[in-house]
Amino acid sequence: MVNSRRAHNALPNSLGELELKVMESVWSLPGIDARRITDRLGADAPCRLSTVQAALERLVRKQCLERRKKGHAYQYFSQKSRSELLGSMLKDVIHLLHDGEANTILSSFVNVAARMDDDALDELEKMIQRKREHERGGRR
Amino acid sequence: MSDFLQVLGSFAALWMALWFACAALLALGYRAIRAPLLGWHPAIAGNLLLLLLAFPFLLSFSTTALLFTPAFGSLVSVHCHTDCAAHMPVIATPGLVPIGLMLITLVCVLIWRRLALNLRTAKRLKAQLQRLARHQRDFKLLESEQSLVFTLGWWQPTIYVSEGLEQRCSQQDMAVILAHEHAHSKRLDNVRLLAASLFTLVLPARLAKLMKDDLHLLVESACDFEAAGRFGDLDVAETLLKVQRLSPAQSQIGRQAIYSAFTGAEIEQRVGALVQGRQRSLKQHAGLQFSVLVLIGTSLALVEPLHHGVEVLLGLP
Repeated sequence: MVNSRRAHNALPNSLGELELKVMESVWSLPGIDARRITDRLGADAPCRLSTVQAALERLVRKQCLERRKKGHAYQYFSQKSRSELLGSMLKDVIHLLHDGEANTILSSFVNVAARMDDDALDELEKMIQRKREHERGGRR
Repeated sequence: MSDFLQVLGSFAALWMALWFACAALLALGYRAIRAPLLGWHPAIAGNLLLLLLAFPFLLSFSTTALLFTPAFGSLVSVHCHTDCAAHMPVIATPGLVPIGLMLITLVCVLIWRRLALNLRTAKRLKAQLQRLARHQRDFKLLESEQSLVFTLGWWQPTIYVSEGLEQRCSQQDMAVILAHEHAHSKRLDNVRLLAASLFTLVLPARLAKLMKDDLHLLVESACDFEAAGRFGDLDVAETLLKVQRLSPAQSQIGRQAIYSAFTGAEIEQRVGALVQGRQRSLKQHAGLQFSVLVLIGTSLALVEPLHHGVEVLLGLP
């Protein structure tokens, strides 16, 4: 249980699998209601209306969706686009990398936790240029 | 206490004592061998460092297993206590057996917790990114303005590239980046780093961090060298700098700091290694084979003195 809580805290912007499927339905059909989402998801695997309603409730609480009442049913609209949702998730990844907790899960091309001032990076770039010129000179 | 528990407790107490003793030796000696180790070819140095990290665990376990395996009785010279039959060094001292059992339980729980946490986080992250990413030929594309590229997963790692990075990099840069990330996949680097994090559980925290950071640097450098084999040292070094300038932490400089650590040394060392054209010979491979032989030899050689040492400590007649 402790692990579950820690894993969840490590990725605060993450969504569950069902929540992601629901988001995909709303992205493709803005204004869709819970029953239609259930029908769409049911094509892959049976899904109960109450389960979908609970997922929608959580997504509204997480401010990923907003709902508007129309007749007896709610219509759902996304508040976060696919790229905005990805952006929040990637922030979690960056935080994990910074804390050193992600080093056992993923390898990043550069250390995103590393901060070097521009002068230090310029200095390294000059070093590469000097080496390049030295190599060119050696060939002549 | 039943005979089985007595044997298990003795095994656990001896294993733990040996493990901690070997870890203490490693802690004392690592700083002395660190500088020459980091000067080797990163692929070989990385393998050696991982072996070194595993050394306390492997040596203590193999030696204790040999001590408690009657089939290897010939490793201990024939001697008699009450009778002359082959025997195991079972501890009779009150209190030691329960301590051994408690210690081994604690270590197992710590290992399980670290593994479970990593597994859950990785599974959750992968499930989400798989669903949100677009499949490309060599990698998965993430629709995000951030500039990020990483390889996620252990046995079948996946490369993820953000759209922001792809747009800001040339085709040549992307080829270098992908060659580096493919090297991670091929070498199963995330498995190495996970194993290192488990092996360092019994080491002092500061030393464990130093060794894990060194391994991380060697792993990254080894992949830089693999990419450099195809694209040239300087092209890889330039791409590293370019991506570092684009990285999310870099873009935060001068704004509200969300990152407290200044660990830019790694990029300097990686670029330095590429530019200085470090000795890239893989001849040191012999060092790795030699280390494995040393491990096996030490393990076998320790059985006899340990067997008698334990019996002396236990005051067996």
